[in-house]
Amino acid sequence: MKANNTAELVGDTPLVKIDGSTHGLDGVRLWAKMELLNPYGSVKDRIGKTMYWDQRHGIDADTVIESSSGNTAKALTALTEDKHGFKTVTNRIKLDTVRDILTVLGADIDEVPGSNECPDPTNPDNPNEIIRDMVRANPETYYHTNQYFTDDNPSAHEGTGEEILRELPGVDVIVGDLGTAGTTKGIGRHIRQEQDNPASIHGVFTDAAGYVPGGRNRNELFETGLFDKDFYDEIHEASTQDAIDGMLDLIRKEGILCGPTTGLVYAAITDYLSDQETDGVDVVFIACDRMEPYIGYLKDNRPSLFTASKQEESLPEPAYITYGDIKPSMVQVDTRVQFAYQRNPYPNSINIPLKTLESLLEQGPPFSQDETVVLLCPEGVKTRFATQKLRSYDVEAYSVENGMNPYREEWDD
Amino acid sequence: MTIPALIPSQIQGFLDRHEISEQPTLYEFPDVLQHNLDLIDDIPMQVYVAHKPTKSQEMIRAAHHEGYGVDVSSLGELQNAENADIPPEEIEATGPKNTLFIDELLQRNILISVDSLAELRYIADQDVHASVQLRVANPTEEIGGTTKFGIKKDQLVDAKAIVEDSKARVEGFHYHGDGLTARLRANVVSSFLSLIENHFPRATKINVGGGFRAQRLRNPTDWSKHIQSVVEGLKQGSNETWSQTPYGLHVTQDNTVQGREKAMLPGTEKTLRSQLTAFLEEDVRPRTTVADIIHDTDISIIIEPGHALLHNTAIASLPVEHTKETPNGPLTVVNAHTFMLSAHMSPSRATPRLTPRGEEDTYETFIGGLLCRNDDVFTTRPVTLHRQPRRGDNLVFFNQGAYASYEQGTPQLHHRINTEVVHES
Repeated sequence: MKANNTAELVGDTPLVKIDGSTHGLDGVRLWAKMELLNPYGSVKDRIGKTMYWDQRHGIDADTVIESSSGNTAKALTALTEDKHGFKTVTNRIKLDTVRDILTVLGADIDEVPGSNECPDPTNPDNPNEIIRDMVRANPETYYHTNQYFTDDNPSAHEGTGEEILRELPGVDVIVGDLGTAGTTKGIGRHIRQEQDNPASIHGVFTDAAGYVPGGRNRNELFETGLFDKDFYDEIHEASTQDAIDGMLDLIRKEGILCGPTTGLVYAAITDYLSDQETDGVDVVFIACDRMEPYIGYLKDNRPSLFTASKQEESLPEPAYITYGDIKPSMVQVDTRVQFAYQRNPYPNSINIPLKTLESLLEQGPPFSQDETVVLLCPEGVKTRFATQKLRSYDVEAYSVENGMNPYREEWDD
Repeated sequence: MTIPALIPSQIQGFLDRHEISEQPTLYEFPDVLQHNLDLIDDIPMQVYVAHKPTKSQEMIRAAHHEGYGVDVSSLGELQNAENADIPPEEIEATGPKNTLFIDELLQRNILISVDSLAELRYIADQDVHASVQLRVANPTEEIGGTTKFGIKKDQLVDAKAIVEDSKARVEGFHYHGDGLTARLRANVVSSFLSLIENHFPRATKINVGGGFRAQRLRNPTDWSKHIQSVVEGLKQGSNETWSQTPYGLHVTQDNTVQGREKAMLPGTEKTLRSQLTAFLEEDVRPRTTVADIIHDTDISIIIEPGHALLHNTAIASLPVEHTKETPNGPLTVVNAHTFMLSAHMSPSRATPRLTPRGEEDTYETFIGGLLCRNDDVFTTRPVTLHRQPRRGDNLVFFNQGAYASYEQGTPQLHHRINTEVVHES
């Protein structure tokens, strides 16, 4: 196989069948669409090609600009190298490895504070607003590819749908994660148009409490212009830990070195299908990117996988004391913020706000091992980790069972 | 150009499945409001849905059904809330009030946001127990410079004296600022925390009002592209819009375009949830966020979103009469008038949808009504429809739920729009 450039290698990814002993589903042929085999490592290589590469000769601006914290930035950096520069404006790079990869690739990364990427003209730090202003002020300098809204995104994946149909005419279910929602929308659009008995299109998002890089939760999806709830036959939700479980299954049992978003989709669809009547159905899930950038993510979210994290995994169990059993001789620490303590301190307590206490604990125990320490907070939940950490230093420490709020009448003046 | 609206799935489903009326009709979707409220149900703030942007009792009832209180600013709104079976303890009253309104509020022991020292004195004079928030006109140096609402900060000493001699109890403080950033809203909280710390230690409520933005467009960049196109046109000496100074932009004598477009309010592409989450993360003291104050203290944060929750809860369907040529270009005339549509952000209305679908083509047109007024034009830019409209078609306008047609000042002069409540889920 010869190619004139790496852009030519985008697409035509294989389908890999998942062994029945791995997924454990009767009557299901489960296929991974191996988008992680694209040249720059992800499903986003396709939109890099349609949003930029195919249009590059008509782009007069010097620099392509996009709000991306990962795969789209990676693809666009690689694709723009010979003709334009690439700049990403983002506040979502939560993984150091991803930042390092983009730096090595040569991306100009403009990280702004905050956690939300949706457009907000009132917030000067908002990535999309910054991009909008930059393009407006310097149209000759910047070209915005606009992955969250442009139809070039789903259009790229109509080709993915075509490839799936070529291999699996009559495919029954397509499932992918809902990040920009472009992948599932493009594949679904093509298959619904071309297949008489259209496949059921499923999307997966992260539960509200979780974080899976590249994914969105239910609420964040409304921030992307491509998402349309009615487009999907089913929408599933899965957690961070589901995603990691799914990822590990695929890595360890199938040799598919995928990232957590793929794990999320795999976990959600296998869970859903386990309750369904299935007989000879072909189900395709999108294996969207590779494992390597997410090692730090795994360390943060599944520390037990790593030797260095064994200590954290083996933290002592949290210990609780009832309010009535607290004795004056115990060191009672009001872990609320200073304002709360000054307004109405818990009786007999000293104030070390939780953020401060957790910083101190990184250096060592701020209490003597001779002392019994009770960490006080409103609900008895936030102090759990600090209690465990103190106990790991052999300090007898407790959180208050159910917190201090239930006893407000006894301490609130 | 086409600037599509962000359409809730319930409304999309309705349009896909139902014939729409041949009469001008405002369709209201309480289910959309319930969905909007679902999206913020884990935000740890006390929410009073503002009644002011809607007169629909169904909407108020829907909000209550979801477990939310209501913010009323007139006697009529209070009566409407009561007719929707909302108990007094789930109602708060804000805005300037006459004595009749205050009497009714006191009778029900409804939480009152006091707008002036005169109101406070009147309440004190009634010698009854009253729960009040003090609305502060200028909580920080950077905001509140020009406002007719609230009590000046340096008059709070007087307010305190009035309250101390009465049966009223100051529950907290209130400020309403339109379109405040998360940072500025946090500054208000910080200012009120200082007031509580130094002068009103028993106060436990900080009300940062409403003025949140509503998402309206499917693709926010469409609007900036349109503005860019208008600017380019003005530079070339042409003006594609209906206005001499489109969106506040104008050409100067040296042929430069000046002004800043004012049609699109800042922040209109961000979800309410995102706005609230950003606010929760802002610091109000060193290493202390708004969320910390809520979690760690007995102080609750109150918000009064209205427009942000309601704007996408209704659509208006207007029947087409005919099309005609004007010196400005084609005009589609509908059997309606501008007062049938929400005036809120009217210059940047999303492109209406022409129904039925019919053949595929493109047709650029202004849209106007039947009033004998030159300003009875619904979009100041030509909108691109997928074909030329004809009698029997309808044009569906989105984002009609807040400050809807029947809010307008002179409806008695013109025929009214029908209203229909739709439950789609």
